[in-house]
Amino acid sequence: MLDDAQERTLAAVTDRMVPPDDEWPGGVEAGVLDYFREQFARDFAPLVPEYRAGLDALDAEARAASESAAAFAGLPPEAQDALLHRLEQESVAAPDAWGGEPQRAARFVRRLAEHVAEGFYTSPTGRRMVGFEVEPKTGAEVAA
Amino acid sequence: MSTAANRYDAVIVGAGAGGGVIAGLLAEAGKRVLLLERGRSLSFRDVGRDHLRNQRLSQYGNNAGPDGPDHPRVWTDRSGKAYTTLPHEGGYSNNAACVGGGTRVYGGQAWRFHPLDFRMASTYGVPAGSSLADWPISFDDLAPYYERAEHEIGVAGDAGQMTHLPPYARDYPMPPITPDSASARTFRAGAAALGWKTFPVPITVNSVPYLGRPACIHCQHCVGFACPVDAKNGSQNTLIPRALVTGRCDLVTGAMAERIERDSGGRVTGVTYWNDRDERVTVSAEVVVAAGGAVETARLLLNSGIGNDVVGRNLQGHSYTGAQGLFPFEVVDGQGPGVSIATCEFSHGNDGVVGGGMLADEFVPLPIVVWKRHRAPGVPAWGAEAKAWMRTNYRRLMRIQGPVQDIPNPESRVTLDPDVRDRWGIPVARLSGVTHPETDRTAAYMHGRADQWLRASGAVEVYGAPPGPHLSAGQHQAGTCRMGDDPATSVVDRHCRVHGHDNLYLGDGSVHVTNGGFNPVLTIMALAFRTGEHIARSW
Repeated sequence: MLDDAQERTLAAVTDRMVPPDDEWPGGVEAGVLDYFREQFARDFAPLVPEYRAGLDALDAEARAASESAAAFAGLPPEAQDALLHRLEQESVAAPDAWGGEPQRAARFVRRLAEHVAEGFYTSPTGRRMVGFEVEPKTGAEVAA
Repeated sequence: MSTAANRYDAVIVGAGAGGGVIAGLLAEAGKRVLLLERGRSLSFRDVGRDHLRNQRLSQYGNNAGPDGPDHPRVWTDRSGKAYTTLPHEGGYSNNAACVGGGTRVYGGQAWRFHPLDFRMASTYGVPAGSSLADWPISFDDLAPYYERAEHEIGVAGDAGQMTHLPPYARDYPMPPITPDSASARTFRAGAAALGWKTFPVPITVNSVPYLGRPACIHCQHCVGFACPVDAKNGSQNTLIPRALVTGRCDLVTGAMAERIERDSGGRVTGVTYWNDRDERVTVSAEVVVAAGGAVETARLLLNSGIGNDVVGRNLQGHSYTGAQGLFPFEVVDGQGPGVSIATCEFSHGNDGVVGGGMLADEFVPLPIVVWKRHRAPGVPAWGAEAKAWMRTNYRRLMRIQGPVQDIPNPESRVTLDPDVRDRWGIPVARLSGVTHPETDRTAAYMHGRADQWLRASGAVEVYGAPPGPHLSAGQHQAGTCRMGDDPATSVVDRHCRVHGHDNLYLGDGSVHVTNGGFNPVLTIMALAFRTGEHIARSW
């Protein structure tokens, strides 16, 4: 579905949206990329072109914002956050990458945030983190 | 099974809360019964535990039918624009389509309506633009059947504490479930400070072993899912098995009813349906019961040319109203089902509004539902702060909410869409209309009461807004074939028999004149016990 560069960008964004911390893993370790992989073949299939273009555009934004950056994934975390916040405000540095429509950038970031959250808060890690999971009580529950 | 005989004593369309009960009673009374269900019989594993595809959050699908694109509907927005929609999408007003219907995956709150819920017009008058009316039967008429439902389906509760109702003849068969949960303790204290009475929520979940099945194990997936130990009681594990064990009931799944057949007079003669091999089958019967839910039953009658102009009108559900509270301590202890305390202080007698509703705490929430629907204002959509907020607050958040009694109006309705057909070529239901302004006003009032209860219980932040005008139907859908003594203004008589048709009965929420300020399933079941008993006795 995605090429290697797009995969790297998606992984980098995922770990900014749900960053690892001292106690709990971030989105990538929690399996959010597996969630994307499943969904690109399923409910997100119609969104694959938007994802490919959007992830490419994040790299274009990274290059436009920093001469030394080759891609979004190469930016330091603070710069990645700043870039995403800027796009949420429809402030784009590489307008052509968004087809000349800055609102596409904001929409893409919103979509990413929602989908990353879906992957994380339905994952065993996300569920354990908030305290949803409690000890199973029976064999049937374990099997479930 | 997928094969039926040619002839039965009774054909029942829809194996849900009502249809399942009537099937059980008629089969036990010696009748040969065909129970048709468009969905399938779903195992625990079939239903699964997908947090994004279930009857609580149908983000990308549901887990209890109807399946995929075979069953579209059309709904219209406030401007009249029409949208074709699938079962998991907004506007569809889906209820589960499987053996057991909604009861396979429901939360199972098992409320008796309030006596005044049957006398809304007498109590409040008829607001302009509404079709508010009294039921032709009273709470007292239904009380013995509430009791049967409580004991034969299986409800846990404490009748002695239900002091907003006339005294029960028999207590519930099981003690309350989680009456001392963290949430119950919190909201009991808050209500006491306000001088409000509270009590445990009656629920169709086994708090102790009952009717041969085990007690609840307090897992976190209850509402929207199937029970891993079969401790949640619906028609699929009570009255339908009772029907089948007689040997006189055939349950046919994957059966899509197309029309009710009738002779040139007033009698219906059977049902035509499509079986799971896409064969069109007509079976004949002495009695037909339509029990597909308020939307599909109205559609079936309209597609059969049966009934008057009232069929499909007065579509209602509930304006679910409440607020979210953030506490400085844990109010979610993770022990399912979760819902454990309620108040009926505001079911009626509220200054300046029509009706009211019950308020209760919430089932154990899915984390993704909290994320999508219950984040506090100002919490960012992503990043370290968002993650920390969820980790800190998931167990400190509780929702107080309840079903506000809809004030029905005739323009909220089910009609047949002129263009859209389902997989079998049958015209689909088209839903239109919005809540009556009095419903929205009562909802705003109840939102204020939820806010008050949360704050008195210790919430440091309360948020959420009451619903505005919307198309009200959903899982609590009701009203489209209302009961009444006057054939000009109602569809069924006081025994749920369709006016003008001696042998056609309805067995779902469609007959509700009003839908109470409570979850409606116990009323649907009680009416089904009453109707089933009436059919068996009079034939």
